[in-house]
Amino acid sequence: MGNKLVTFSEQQLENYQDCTFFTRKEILRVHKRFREVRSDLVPKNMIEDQPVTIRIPLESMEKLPELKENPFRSRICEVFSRDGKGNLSFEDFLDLLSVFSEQAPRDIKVFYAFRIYDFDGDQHIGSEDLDQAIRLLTYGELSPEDMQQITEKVIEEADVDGDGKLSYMEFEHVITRAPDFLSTFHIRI
Amino acid sequence: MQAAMDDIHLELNHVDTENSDMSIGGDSRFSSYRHRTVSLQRNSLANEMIGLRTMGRYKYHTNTLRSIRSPEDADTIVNQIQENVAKADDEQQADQLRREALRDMPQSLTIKRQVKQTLMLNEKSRGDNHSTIGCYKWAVYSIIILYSKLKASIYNFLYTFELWYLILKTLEGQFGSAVATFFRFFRSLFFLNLFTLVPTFFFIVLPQILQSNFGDEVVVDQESFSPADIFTGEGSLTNSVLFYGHYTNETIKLAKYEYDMPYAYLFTMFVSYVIGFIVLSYSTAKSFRKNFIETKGGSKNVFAHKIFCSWDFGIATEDAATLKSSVIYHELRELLDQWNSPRTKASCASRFFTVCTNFAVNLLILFVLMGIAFGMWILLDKNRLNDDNEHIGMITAVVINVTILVFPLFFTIVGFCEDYKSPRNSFFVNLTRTILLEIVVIGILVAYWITSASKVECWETCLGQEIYRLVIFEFIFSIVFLPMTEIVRFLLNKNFPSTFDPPEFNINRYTLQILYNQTLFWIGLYFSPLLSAIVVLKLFVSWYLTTFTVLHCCKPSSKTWRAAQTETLFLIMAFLNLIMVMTCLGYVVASVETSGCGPFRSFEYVYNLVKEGILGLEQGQTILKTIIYVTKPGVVALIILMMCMGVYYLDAKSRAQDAMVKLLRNMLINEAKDKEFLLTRISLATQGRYNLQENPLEGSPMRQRRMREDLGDSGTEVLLPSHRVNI
Repeated sequence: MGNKLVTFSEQQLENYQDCTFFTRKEILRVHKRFREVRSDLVPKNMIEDQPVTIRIPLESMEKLPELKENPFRSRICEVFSRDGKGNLSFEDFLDLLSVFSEQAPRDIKVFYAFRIYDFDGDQHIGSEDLDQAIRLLTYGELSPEDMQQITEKVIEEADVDGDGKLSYMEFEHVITRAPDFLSTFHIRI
Repeated sequence: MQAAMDDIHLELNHVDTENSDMSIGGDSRFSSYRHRTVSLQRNSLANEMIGLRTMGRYKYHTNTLRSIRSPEDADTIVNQIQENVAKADDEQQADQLRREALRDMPQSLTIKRQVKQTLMLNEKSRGDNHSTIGCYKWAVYSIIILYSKLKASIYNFLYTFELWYLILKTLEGQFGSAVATFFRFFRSLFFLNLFTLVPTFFFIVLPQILQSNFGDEVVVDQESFSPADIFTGEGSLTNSVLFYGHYTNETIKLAKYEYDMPYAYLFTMFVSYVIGFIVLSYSTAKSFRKNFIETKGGSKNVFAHKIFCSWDFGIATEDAATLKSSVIYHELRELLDQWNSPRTKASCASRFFTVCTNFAVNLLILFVLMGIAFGMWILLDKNRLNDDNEHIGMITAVVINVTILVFPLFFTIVGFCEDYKSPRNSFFVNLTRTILLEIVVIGILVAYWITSASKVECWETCLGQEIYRLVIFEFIFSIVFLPMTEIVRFLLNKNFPSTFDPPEFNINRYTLQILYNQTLFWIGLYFSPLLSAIVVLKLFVSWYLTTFTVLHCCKPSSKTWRAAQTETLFLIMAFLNLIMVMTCLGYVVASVETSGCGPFRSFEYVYNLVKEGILGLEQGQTILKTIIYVTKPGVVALIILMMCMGVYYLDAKSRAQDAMVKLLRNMLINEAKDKEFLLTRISLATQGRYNLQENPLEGSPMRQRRMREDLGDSGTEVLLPSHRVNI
């Protein structure tokens, strides 16, 4: 049979399987895709702490086919990267795909959705965050008056405690009732 | 001031870690009230969240966890998990809880891994002194663990064989998740039919073939095979394994083995239908729960949903992204326009007019359906009487298929005259009418042949032949007609882009076609066992054709399609169709006398096979008496009544909890207003000594307590109205 080069050790695979929503084969497929982005940086088998140390920079990550057309791609990479700048290690990438997979429960997706839409990171979705989101979604086509009106409407609909921005509880209350959330917040690898 | 702020920061963090379930730190005046509110809130919300296990899911409060970035803080998580898990009864449950908590924790993977390692080390060190559990419990838990391991390995195994994965991914990237959902539905139906094929082929068809070729029976002389037979199902195919009539009612004897054909036939059919029923009911219930029940209630948040949930994260091509973005833009504009210039409430006269038109249109459609039924009956009669003209069978099938294709368009056109409140309502009404049309067509077919049972020699074979013809012609139509229209429109659009629009992928039409096909298959399986092979082949070819057409000729639709709820709707309709088919077949088995052909020739009614053959029951025995008593209409009605009462009770409970949620939400809003009121009073009372700024920490009761202490209680006693509310 010859020497079969193993990508991950058995222990590593089992750890990943327990901590994410993926099976073994899916984890290996994720590794293959990770390698395809930058094959010069990522080795064929990840030993020791390479899954944590080797990072792919944001610019290369944004070229991944699944993220290429996503208006929130840079924000997604920022949220899942440990250094906060969008450079993803393998574990970060696995985490990202695990949260966006079909088996992840609603609560985890809502949690990360909140962090993605909170552009300035102040634990609240304020009007600037909403402005930014609308601008990214419509490629900047809406006029500023329309954008302001929409922002006001959103805050009016969702804000309960009257502070003019959405906290995590309010966001969760709104999103959990959305029937489309689970099907749209989903990346298939 | 800065020192005070730092102090408050620290206190808040301290309070947060202590009472990690409360959202605002506790204080004497507020905490008891808030504690009650929050715990009530938690309880009712916890009850409301369907799908929670009895041990509960532990929601780790996000404030604590969000700030954790370094590995040292992993210890805090470990401690939290250990505390919560200590409430568990024994080791196995604790283990499972730990694993669940780990997976559902919203933390980065690196930290989770470290937490897991720490937990494992702790476990190992405690390993030897866990309490002994009884033999029975140990057996139960090892079965549960084995089962979950088995499930994981099955998923792993199935993953290697994921069929058509690449095509689905390309479709999703180009068209969005709605289209991908449709094709996944298509694929699951394909697999369901494949699994029905396996038992029917191996237990029914194969023994019959072996018997005809190697058995001792006298071979009936076959008519010669002509190509037209493939389309009509008559001629040489009448007396073949394709149809019910050919199957023997004797025990097949080959070498030393005996094989009872009638029993095999009945039980294999029963098992196939029951498996299909179980699988379909399970997926329908799961889909309904996920898409309708869990998203019920709450206020209408149109704008918020549009912003946060409308972008499809599966889109991977530039065209689809630009299209999606412009769709979102247009929808936002539309919503704004609707808001700025709302539709005035219709006057009494126009509402009356709308009701009248709706009624008239429904009446018209009813008449059309009755006309179709009557026309079909006459056609079938003519078909049966004109046996010498071979082609009339084909004409019937063609006419029926054309009806199925043309009348839905007619319904859509008529539907334009009506005025429904939302496009979703009109879509739903259209769908119902089309499904009704299909039910009428298939129902008339079956009813005709059951009532003509005495007039023909082998009515089951005749019915089987009719359905076979329908399936074949539907295949031809769906290969030739539908893709051809798309390809033609695509070519026209390429050459004359200004006059013709490129074809859009119409999920509605394709799904109805699939549903029709599936219903035909289910009703035809009993009368033609080999139909499963034909349908599987048909679905296989159809898949490649449809995906090819869609990928190369169609452009993504510009209408947003609510994929999740529509998928549930289609599953429900498929399920209802299956129930109707099974009722129909139940009637055939129980109340229709067998004809002179087929595997049940020797019994008067088909169910006699079970009654006499297996159970050996005769008149007067107690078991027989109880069975007859239980199947009396009165008892069945009583059972159905009790089930309805159970459903009503659960529905009332859920409505009560909905009302509770509304009440609690109003209380939250009142709380916020009270807070504002308090702050303004304090600002007045201190004569502006403490300036109020826009600051999230500002409104915390911690700060207010501090301020009151500083002032030496100079403020007036404030009685808040909301404190008087009794829960």
